[in-house]
Amino acid sequence: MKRPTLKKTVSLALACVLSLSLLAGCGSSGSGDNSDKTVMTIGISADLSSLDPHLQNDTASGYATRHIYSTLVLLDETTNEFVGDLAESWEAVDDVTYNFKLKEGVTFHNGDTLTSEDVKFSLERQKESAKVGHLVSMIESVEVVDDLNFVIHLNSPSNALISSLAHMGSAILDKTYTEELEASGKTLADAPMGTGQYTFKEWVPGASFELTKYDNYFDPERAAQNDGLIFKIIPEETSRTIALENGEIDVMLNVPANDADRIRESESLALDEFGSTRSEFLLFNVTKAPFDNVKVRQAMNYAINKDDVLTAMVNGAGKTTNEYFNSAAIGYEEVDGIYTYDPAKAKELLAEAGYGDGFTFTCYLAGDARNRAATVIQANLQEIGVTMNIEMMESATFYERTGKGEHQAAISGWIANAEPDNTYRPLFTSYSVGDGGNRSFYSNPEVDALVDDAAVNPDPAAVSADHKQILEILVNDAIWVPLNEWTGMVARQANLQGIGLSAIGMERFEGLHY
Amino acid sequence: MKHTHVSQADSASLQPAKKKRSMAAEVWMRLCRNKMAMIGLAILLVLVFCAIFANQLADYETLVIKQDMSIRLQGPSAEHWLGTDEYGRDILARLIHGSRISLVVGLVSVSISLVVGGLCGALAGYYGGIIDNVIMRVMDVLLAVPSILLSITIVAAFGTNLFNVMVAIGMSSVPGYARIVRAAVLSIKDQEFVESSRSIGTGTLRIILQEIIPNCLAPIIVQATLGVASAILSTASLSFIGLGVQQPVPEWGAMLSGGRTFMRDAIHLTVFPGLAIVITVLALNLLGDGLRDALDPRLKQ
Amino acid sequence: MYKYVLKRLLMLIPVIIGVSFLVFFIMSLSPGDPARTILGETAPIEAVEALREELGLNDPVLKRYVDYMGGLLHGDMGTSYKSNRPVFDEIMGRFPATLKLSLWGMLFAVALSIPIGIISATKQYSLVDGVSMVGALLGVATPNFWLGLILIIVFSLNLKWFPSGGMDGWKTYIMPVITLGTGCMASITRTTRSSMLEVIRQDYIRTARAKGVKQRVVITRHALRNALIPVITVIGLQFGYLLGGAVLTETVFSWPGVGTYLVNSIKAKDTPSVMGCVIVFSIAFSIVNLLVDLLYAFVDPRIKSKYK
Repeated sequence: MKRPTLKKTVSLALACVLSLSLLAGCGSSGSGDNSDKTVMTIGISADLSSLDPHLQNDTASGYATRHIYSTLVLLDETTNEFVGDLAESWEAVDDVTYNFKLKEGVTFHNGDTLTSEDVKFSLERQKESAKVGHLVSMIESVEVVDDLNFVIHLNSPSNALISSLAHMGSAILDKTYTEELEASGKTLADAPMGTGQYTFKEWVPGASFELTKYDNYFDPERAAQNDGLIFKIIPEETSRTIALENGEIDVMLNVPANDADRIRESESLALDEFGSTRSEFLLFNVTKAPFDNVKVRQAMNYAINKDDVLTAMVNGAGKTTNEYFNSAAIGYEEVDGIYTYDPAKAKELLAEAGYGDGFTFTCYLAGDARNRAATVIQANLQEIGVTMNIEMMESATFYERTGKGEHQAAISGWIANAEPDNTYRPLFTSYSVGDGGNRSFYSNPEVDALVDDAAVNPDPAAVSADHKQILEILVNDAIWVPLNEWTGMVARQANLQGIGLSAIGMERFEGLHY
Repeated sequence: MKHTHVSQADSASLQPAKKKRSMAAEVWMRLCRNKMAMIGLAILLVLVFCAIFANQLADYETLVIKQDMSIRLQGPSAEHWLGTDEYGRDILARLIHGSRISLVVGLVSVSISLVVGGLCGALAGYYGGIIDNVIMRVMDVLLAVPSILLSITIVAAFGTNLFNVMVAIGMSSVPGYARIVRAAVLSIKDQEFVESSRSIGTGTLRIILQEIIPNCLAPIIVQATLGVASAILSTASLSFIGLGVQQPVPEWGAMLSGGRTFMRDAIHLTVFPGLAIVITVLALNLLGDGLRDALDPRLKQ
Repeated sequence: MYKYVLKRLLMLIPVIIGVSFLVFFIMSLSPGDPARTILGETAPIEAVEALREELGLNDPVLKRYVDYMGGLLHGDMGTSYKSNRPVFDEIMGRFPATLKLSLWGMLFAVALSIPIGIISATKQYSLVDGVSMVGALLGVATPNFWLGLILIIVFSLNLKWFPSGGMDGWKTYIMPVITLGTGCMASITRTTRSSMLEVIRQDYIRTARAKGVKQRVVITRHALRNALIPVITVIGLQFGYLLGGAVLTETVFSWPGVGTYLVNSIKAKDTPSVMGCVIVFSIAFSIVNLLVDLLYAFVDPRIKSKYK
């Protein structure tokens, strides 16, 4: 009987190999020496949607496009000033005319040299985009003067042009390359190509995307200090932290608030913390009873224990606020938020408003963190006799239903970008009531006028004064209960250097190295 | 409560067929001899007891939904036997009240699939022909989508609340019941007692209700017992991907999924609700298996 | 035989039409705005309206459905609202990962549960039988995502044997495969055991035993073949459970499969992507069922004649 013996031998050998490799596995994993690593792995929570900068407007796609393409201008986050990226210089000739000059000798990844024609092509292509076209809606036309000089004509005065050009949606593409690519039936999303520090290598949907260093990047000071970047998609929070601890990733974005302490305490890991421009708030539909009564809204502002909300929401990683504009964002003016946690005062105000016996309302929201906040608020309000029902939904549903004004109250948030008008206008003016962003349905002609003035007034002091006045009005009208501002957190291996942090979610990774 | 309503309906439908009663007694005898099934039944009785006397065992207002952030995430202690959750609420108290939710979700969603599926199956089996074809093709469609996907779609589309969760889970298991009932109807519709009641002019609906349904009770009872178990699991799965029951309702799946962000520091938040689910589902399966054996003596010698 | 296969494949058409109708209307008639979700909270309303127009969301539901089905007829599954990429490409980029996970999970389950089931049946009421049946019951009763989380804590965090997630080398397969396989292991074990028990009691087995054929030969040559028929049915049914369970397992282990993609698409109201996934799932499920039916023929030659 030969066959059974053979089988047995084979299976025995297999078992040996298997257990050996298991043992080997134990030794090799875990964070060991990483100092000779030249390709950096970054753990993120969501997959990208498109590599065509005109077809996306989400954070994850931004990680890729920001490193593949360049924009005309950049926000320097240490000074909060805009500086040239592809642009050498620019000047406003008048309200509606801007002269730009490009840097010399900038090359695309395929060797083509950047010219004004590429800029004209890119901005015009962007204007057609349903996803990022609105950013440059103020541009009437782009006039090419010569290879390096061009003029941007606006259709009306706007303070937002420069900040819009710093957005990744305003990335500059190679005209000939893109036109030829699209004529051949391919898309830019499949073969992205720009002037950035990295060339595109590979995208495995749902798993990872990978970039390789571009050796001929135009600015030696900002050139990549590593050979490549791998973005690994790890949606589950706990797994992401474990991957960092085990050395599977070098950097972790979207740090779970509950793991922050652990990372802080670890010797081999480091946690970078910075003010982010993300604000969270409980908003009221001011057109619906009982929140059409300002006293009721003020009572709510006294009734909520914001410290507990912050603990439950992000394990305390942030700060509570009484204000309507993020303190780390451009356009912030300090005002007195008035309200403190004072349930007795809240009860008093409710009685004055005729709701001494309390009332019941429903609060809409989307997302786990907001659900945790709502759980605390629910318990707080119960103390003053107000019953809050929570209705949690997917964000698509949330946007539609609050956009139509079906809600009485909702918990929502906002991430301010580099342009204050992109926050003041949608959140507080009557122009954007409902789905435009003003989900409080708040309408105040005084605020509208102030926002309009701040958007075009060339005098920075006057703009500041406008903003301050708006914020004071909002505190008195109590259209929200501002809850908190989150701390931005990025975790990394302790000996990794050169991370480019950003308050507005525009982290840069070209400087990463061990 | 919903479940007494169901059992009344069962016993009512058992009445007309005289032979049934002695058969039920016989089944009960057989079930009693099955140790595993008795263990399952005992666990379930404890659960039902918790569900009924939840308010006496732990006060809802002061223990289940009352928050105290100063004692959040504490491990088991003399004061809080199973520790506290991320809002400082007592986990044991929440588990006790959670038994209510789980049993209600299980029973209601099974009732939904039972009523809808049973009716479809009975109609299809009884009438045959086009009606049968149409109904069973619709069931094929429902079967072609894995049931958890169907419930995810329904809940995500219509909003996450207890009612939608029950409907979604109920609807996604309709085809199973339809098939069982149809098969049972087909196997007995031409038997003598059905033909004889038809010959004395009994209406179709009455025949279905009086003769056919009582006669396919056995497989349905088994399927329903196991169905409650899988409904509890499905609810937990929906909660896990964020499509479950709303706060502050102490649903086990939601507790588990809320606790998983704290899994490494406070593992009791995930372990205890998980164990509650495992034990309940295990008990239901033990009972379901026992019932299957008891109702079908051929398998058990 | 071919005729039978052809007939079964043709029956897929009404099922796909039914499934697409069902899902399309659930997706379209419920509230939710994909355009706003794609652009985010901060985009101005004109941009959202423009995108809505571009995606065709302002057309009546029925027209959108007819357009969609028209496209499907030509093999066009539409374009994802979110990424602007063809849904077919999106799914095919991810489906292999899901298929691999499901097949390995099934292989793991079958490889373990059939032997255990057979041993349990031949040694009914022994310790082995008791332990494996309780194990099987526990397997059914354990939510698989919970099992996955606990595996991660033990084997990834504390023992550091396996990476916590991703699909990158054989080590990343082990925990997801165990997690996914455990649930269906239980029912396959139980079915194997009970159908084995039933077969063993039948006359021909007694005859074989009486003739002095060895126990092992009786089991493998005579009993197993017949006992396997219900087991194959269960395996087929479990495959649907596997594809569904993959959604949760993929989430826990950051597996780049179609399950997580589907859940995200449902949440974002990306109707074309959801439709594509559900249709692909349904086809996969139906094909597996067909294969299962064909397998019968090989296990039990008597059934073959029915396929004519």
